[in-house]
Amino acid sequence: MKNNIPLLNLRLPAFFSLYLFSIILSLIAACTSSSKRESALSENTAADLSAEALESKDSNSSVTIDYELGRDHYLFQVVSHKNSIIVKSYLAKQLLKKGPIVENKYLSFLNKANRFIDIPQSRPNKKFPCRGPFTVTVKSGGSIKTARGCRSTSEGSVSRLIREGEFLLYSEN
Amino acid sequence: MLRSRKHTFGFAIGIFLCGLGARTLWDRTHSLTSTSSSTSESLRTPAGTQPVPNIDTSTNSCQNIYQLVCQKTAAIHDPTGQVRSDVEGEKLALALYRDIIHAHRDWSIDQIDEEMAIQTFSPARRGRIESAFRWVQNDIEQFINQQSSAVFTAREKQLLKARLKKTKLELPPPASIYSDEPDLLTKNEIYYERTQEGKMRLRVGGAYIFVAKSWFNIVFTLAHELAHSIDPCEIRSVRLSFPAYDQLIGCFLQNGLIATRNNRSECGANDQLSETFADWLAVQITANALKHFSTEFRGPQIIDAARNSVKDLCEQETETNDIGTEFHPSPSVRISKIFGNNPAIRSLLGCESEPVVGPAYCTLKSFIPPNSDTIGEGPRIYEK
Repeated sequence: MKNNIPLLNLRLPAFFSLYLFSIILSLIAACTSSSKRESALSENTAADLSAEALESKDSNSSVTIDYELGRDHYLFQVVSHKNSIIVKSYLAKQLLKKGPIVENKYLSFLNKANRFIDIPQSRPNKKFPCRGPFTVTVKSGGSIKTARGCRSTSEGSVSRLIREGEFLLYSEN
Repeated sequence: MLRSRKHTFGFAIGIFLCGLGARTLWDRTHSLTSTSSSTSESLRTPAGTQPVPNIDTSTNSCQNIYQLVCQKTAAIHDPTGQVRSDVEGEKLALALYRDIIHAHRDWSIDQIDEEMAIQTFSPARRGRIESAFRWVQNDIEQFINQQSSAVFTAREKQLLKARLKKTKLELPPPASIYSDEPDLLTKNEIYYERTQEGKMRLRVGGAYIFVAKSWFNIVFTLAHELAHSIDPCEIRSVRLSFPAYDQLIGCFLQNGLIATRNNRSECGANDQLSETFADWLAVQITANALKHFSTEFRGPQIIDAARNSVKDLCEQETETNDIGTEFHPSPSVRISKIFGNNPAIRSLLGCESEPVVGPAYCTLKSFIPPNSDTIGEGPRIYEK
C-alpha cells in the first residue's frame, strides 16, 4: 500500500511534516478566529458609525438625508422594515432622537422624498460655493435613487423636507 | 510495516493534538494579553473624572492655549453665561419643538414653527443678539478706520464699511423670515450669506440661542460671520483685490493658519482662507470686547470669559472626530494659533505677548516695509 503523502515514506521527515502540518493548521485556525473577531468588531463599528450601514440591508424602503450645516454633520433617516417604521436623527453621529411613526404618514413622506429627488439640483459655481452640501437617498423596492446638492442653491427644498421629517418624528414621539 | 504505520499515525495525531494545545495556549496567552491591556486601559482615569486643576495662566497654560480653553473644569465663571455643546443645544431646541407640537396637536407645521420662533427668539434673547451685532458692526468699522493708509486706501475703507452696513441681521419671529430654511429654527448654525440676488444677510439658528449664553461667545460668533462680508474671497467675488489682504494671506500660509493642500483652490474647494480670515478678525473684535469689560470683571472672570468666547470651537464630545476641516481650520489651529497668538488675548490671559514657540501673529501690516523706498525689495512670501 503506497502512502499518498510522499514525505510519510520517510519516517523522520514525516514527523516533521506532520508537526509542520499541525502548526500550520493551528495557525490558520487562530488567524481565522482572530480575523472573524476583527471582522465582527469592524462590522459593529460600521453599524454604529457609518451612515450608510445604518440602513438595514433587507429593509422594504428608506429615506436618508445626510447633510452638513456649518461644521456640523447631520443624518436623518426613516427605515421601513417588516411591520415597523423607525425614524432616527443624528448630529455628529450622536443620536438626537429615535422613534416609530405610523405607515400612512411615512408613505406621504416617502412620496415627498421621491418628488424631491426627481427635481434636478442646481450645481454650485465658483461665485456661489456650496454652503450646506446634502445627499438624499430613497430606497424603495429594488431601486436606489440619490440626489446631491447644496442648501444654498436648493431654494429651501431640502430644508423643508428635513423639517417635514422632524415634524413627523416629534409629533409621534 | 503496518505497526510502523500505526506508530506514525499515532504520533501524527499526538503532534496534531500538541499543535491544538499550543494553539489553545497561544489563544489563552493572547486573551491574557488582551485582558492585561484592557486592564491597563481601565486603570487610566477618564479625562472627565480626573481631578480638575485650577486654571492658572502659568507658562504651561500660556504655551497650550487649546488646553486652557477646552479642558473640562467643574465650572467656568463667565459672569455673562455659559456655553453648551452643539448637541446639548440642539436637544434643548428640539425638546421645546416637541413640547409645542404636543401642546397643539391640531396645529399645522407652519403654526408650530411660528410658535417655535416666538418662544426661542423672545424679545430679551433677540435684544441680546441685536445689541451684540451692533457692537460687532461698530467695532469692525472702527478697526477699519484705525488702519493706516499704507494698509487700506480711503476708497478701500469705504468699500469695506459699505459691505458691513449692507449686511442685515435676520432674526425671527415671524418664522416666515426663515421660510426658505425652516429647519434652521432648531439648528446650531449661524451664517453669513450673499444670495444670488446680491442680498447680504446673517442668520442665527434657534439651537444656538440655547448653546451660547455667554456674551463673549455671541460677540465672537457674530464677528466671525460678519467678517465674512469683507473677507478676501467676498472681496474677490466683486472683482477687487486689496494688497493688504494679499500680504495677510501670505502670513496665514507661512504660519500654517491655512492648510496647504495639493487640491486647494484659493477661495474655492479645500480652501480655509475665508474661515481663517473670519476667525482672525473675530479674535480682534472679541479681544476689544473683553478689554472693554475687563475693568468690570475680576481677573479669573475675564479669563473664563475669554475661554468661553471660543469654547464652542473645541472638539465636540463625540465618539469620532466629525468636524469638517475642508473650509475651517482644525479646532487646534483656530484656538491655539489664531485665538491664542493674538497679543491682546494673551495679555488678558496673563501670558507674555509673544508665544515662546509657535507661529508669529499676523497683522495687516505684517509685510508692509517701513518706508515706501523698499517696496518691492522685501520678501514676498505669497504671490498670486
